[in-house]
Amino acid sequence: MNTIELEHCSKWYGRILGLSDVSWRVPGGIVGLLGPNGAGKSTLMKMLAGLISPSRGTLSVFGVSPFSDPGVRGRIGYAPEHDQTWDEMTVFDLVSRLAELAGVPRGRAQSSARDAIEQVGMTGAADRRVRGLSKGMRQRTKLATAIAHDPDLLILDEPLGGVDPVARIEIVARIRDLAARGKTICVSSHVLYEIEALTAQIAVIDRGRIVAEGDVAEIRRRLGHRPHRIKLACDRPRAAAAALATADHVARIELSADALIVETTDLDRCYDDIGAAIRATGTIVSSLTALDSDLGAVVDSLTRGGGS
Amino acid sequence: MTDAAAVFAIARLTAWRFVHGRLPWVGAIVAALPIAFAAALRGHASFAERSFEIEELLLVVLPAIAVAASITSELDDRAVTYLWSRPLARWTVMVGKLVVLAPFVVALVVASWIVSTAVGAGELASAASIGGLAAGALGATMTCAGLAIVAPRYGMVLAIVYMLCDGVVGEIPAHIQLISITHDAGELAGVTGSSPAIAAIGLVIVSTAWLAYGMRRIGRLEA
Repeated sequence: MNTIELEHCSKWYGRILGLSDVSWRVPGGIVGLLGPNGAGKSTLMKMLAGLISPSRGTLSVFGVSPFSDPGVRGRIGYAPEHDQTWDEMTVFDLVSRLAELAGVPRGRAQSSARDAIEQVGMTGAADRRVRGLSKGMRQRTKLATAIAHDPDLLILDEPLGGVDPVARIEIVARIRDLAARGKTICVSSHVLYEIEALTAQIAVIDRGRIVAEGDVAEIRRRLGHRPHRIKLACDRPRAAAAALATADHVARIELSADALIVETTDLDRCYDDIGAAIRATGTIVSSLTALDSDLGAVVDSLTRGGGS
Repeated sequence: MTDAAAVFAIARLTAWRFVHGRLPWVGAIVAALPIAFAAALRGHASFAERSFEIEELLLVVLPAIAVAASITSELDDRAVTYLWSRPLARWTVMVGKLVVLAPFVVALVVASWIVSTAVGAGELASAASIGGLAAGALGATMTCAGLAIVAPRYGMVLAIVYMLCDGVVGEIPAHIQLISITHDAGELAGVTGSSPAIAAIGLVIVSTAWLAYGMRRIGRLEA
């Protein structure tokens, strides 16, 4: 049985369409929900957490509707995108009371909260009021509230939004730890490298529709007819460009003072030819980047209307 | 998680927030206003005429401040997502809050009446008047809880406006006045009429209907 199953789910907010005929299945592991702001990520996440119900279609988590069956929400940990919470509480108070509300017996809620706070690296700040926490600490606190009752499914809405690089590394490590312990994790972001750091399994959402899903590489294969772009940063871009210009797979070359971007229809041959060009011209290379292996290119390609 | 356990957990959370918040102080200040009025009119004939009406104004303000605001504030600031994503029926959130806040409202109204009567008239308030006000405060609290869910963003204002209208309806010399909580409280207190049993039925029907409506509607709200 899939952990998450959506069948032709749509959601209207009055006359605004938040989600449009989405069918999606998540068996387990970490899956990234990727899309620009306003694409429908949070709407989908709220549906999975049981906060809103689909206007049309069916949605099930562990086989039941999280909106109409409160019991299943005990197996779900949800960290919303927003920061609003009971700011007058300490981190420990907040996490332990929410654990209790998630069904952890009162006697065990405090130890569960301590464990969760430790897991997210907030032990030193457990007695601080939420009001005074930095963005990164708030994100980790939200993660602690989501995991304190040991749920089987974690729904994390933009968990890396606005956090500093150090906190981002720590949060990514915690999320990966949780996945390694068998949790299913659905994580959203509009920042591409955040998702890329967590998982290769993604669903790309735009204008309320899932426009692509699967492995990043698989999605790229589906975009195979599109030219790939490779950026070569080097000391002699003009010479390297001249060496590559005659290759039949090269569709376009963009030049700048210290780099060139090659657009090619055959990625493997292009890498071979770049290597040959570097050797032939004696160019010193500082970096070689396949631009469209970045999720940004995937999203851009798909949301421009060319997704299959 | 059983519904009873959920109500208990919400009540504990509400009690914690109540103790650490401003509501006790705000409530005490509002409840002190009739006492100040009583002190100003001490021994004056108009105190006896107006004291119960002044006390009834607490039924307009206190439940709206304490209950309607508490129920809707989390909806307004989205913290409710933490409650609604938990494995508990949403009506238990309303009931859990009422378990803590209703006694607070009733106690303040009753205490305010006892003290203002002692200050203004130099006598103890009658048991009937205390009972009538307590029943009215409880009814107003349940009504405001249900009303707040009608329009969560404006829950407190809506509750105050409703209770002001309730006072006007209570002045209409017809059976419709039985749907007025303030009128029913006066009847139960022996201040305005002679049919406390019918007033009690009216009070129970109105406040239970509003609470039931709120408990039903909250289950369909979306965060």
